[in-house]
Amino acid sequence: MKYLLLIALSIFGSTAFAQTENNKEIKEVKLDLLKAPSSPASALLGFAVSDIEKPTDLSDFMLSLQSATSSYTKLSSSYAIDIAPFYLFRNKGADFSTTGKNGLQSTKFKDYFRQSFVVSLALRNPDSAFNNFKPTSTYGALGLKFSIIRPKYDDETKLKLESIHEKQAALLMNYKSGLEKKRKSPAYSKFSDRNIFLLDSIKKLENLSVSEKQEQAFKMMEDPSGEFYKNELKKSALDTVFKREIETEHSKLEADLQEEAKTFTGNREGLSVDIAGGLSTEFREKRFDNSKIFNSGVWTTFGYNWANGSSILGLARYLYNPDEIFALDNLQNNIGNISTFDTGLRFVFTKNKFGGGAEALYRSILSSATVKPSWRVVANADYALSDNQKIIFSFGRNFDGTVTKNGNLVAALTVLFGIGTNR
Amino acid sequence: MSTDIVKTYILNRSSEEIKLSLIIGGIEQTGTSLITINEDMVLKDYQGDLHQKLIGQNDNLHLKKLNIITVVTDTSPNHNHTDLYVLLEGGFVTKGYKMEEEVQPGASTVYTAEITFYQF
Repeated sequence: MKYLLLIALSIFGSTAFAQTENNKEIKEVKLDLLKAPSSPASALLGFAVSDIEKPTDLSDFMLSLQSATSSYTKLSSSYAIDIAPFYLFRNKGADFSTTGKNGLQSTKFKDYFRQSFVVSLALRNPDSAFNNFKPTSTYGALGLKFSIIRPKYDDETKLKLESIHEKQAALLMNYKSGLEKKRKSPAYSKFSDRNIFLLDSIKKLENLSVSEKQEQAFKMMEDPSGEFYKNELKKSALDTVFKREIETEHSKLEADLQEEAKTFTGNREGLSVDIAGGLSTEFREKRFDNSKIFNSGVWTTFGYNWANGSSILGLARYLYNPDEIFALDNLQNNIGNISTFDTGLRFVFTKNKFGGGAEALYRSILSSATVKPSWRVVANADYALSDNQKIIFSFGRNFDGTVTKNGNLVAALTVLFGIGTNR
Repeated sequence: MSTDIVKTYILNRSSEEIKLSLIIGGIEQTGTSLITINEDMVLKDYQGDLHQKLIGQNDNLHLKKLNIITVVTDTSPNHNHTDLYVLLEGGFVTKGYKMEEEVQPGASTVYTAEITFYQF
């Protein structure tokens, strides 16, 4: 019966697609328009997400700069980077782990502001004219993104983290006792004894002051070809062997921990408010004393997540001189320097295998009377037959000119199959 | 890069405090640490980053061994990178040691650091 239903739905779905292929408006029916860009500066200058550098530490950052500027000899032709300053300087107290006192579980503004704060920078020197970019100009952009309110972890996430922590604690005790026992071996302690002897030898040098002895010892310790350094490496290699032996003895605990961690989602429950904004400048004739604002934008997203996975999300978006005008069905902006304002609301509902959602958007032009505001409402529903098989149903009124004028309804029924066995 | 380090930290001749920081990475990973000095437990089952924990003074740590065991479990949905940065301050120099490893989804890395203090 289940397969008959699937076949029927597939045929029905194909028919729906055949109809919609002739109806270009269907491509607009998707519930992901209410999103602030992850990198505001890069979005303003039209960079793809995959082209944005995201350094994870200071050396990464310097390497990225060095590579983009051909070892600091010239300005890059196209470069976009997202810098999380509090992540790069984590030793100043910002914690990005899940369970730390000031970590991602923290509900203190100071903590989540630092964790969410991202500075995005972008530079574009176009080789040829495209969109509104001119090859005779250089474009630079600066953007910021941060959270004003971040919801707390939901109860399920907290329980999962507690369970992970308990298993980690048990694992630590196993490794502590195991390593203490194994490190007593003569093979391990002989390297310690030898290194202390080498340090004592420097200590006994009467002609050196304390600071000179410290400097000499430091040099010895940092010399990769020296005996001291090699002894420490041999000890750490032994530790690695000891750990493998301990791991084999307690493999079940580690497997249980992995099973628990694999299904960790980090879901949150409560109110969230995020802000993103950016400004880009066009340097005409590639001169820094001949510039004007190219485009800019401010995105405010706010929402509420419930423990059952349902959420409501709102967006207010102001754009100055965007590449594409949303109220004109994403047509390229040939009007000039105009300001647009978009607002929207999205509701997502999930219960067991059933999911549903609705999205409403209103688009307006603030500084031009030639374009009228438009709106759309879309609803969708889906049912998961299994982890890789889903029925999706979409229904709505698009804000595309033709459809709006005719009052057409856009509908699609889709069946998605994953390759492989049922999961 | 190794997941185990054995190092020696040179102390000053002073009573200044020695501070230990542990920084767990990458973003969204879950880490717990156990820290001992010789046989004494300094911190047990400590969750997340440790920021400038006072572990003793230059004058009373000579030849003592600081042992750190940290387990970092991959709980990030975005990557499988784990790392641990150990930072010591207050002695002859400020010294940082980084260890890192890519793991299978949900797997853990056990990082160890054995640091011997030495005073001239």
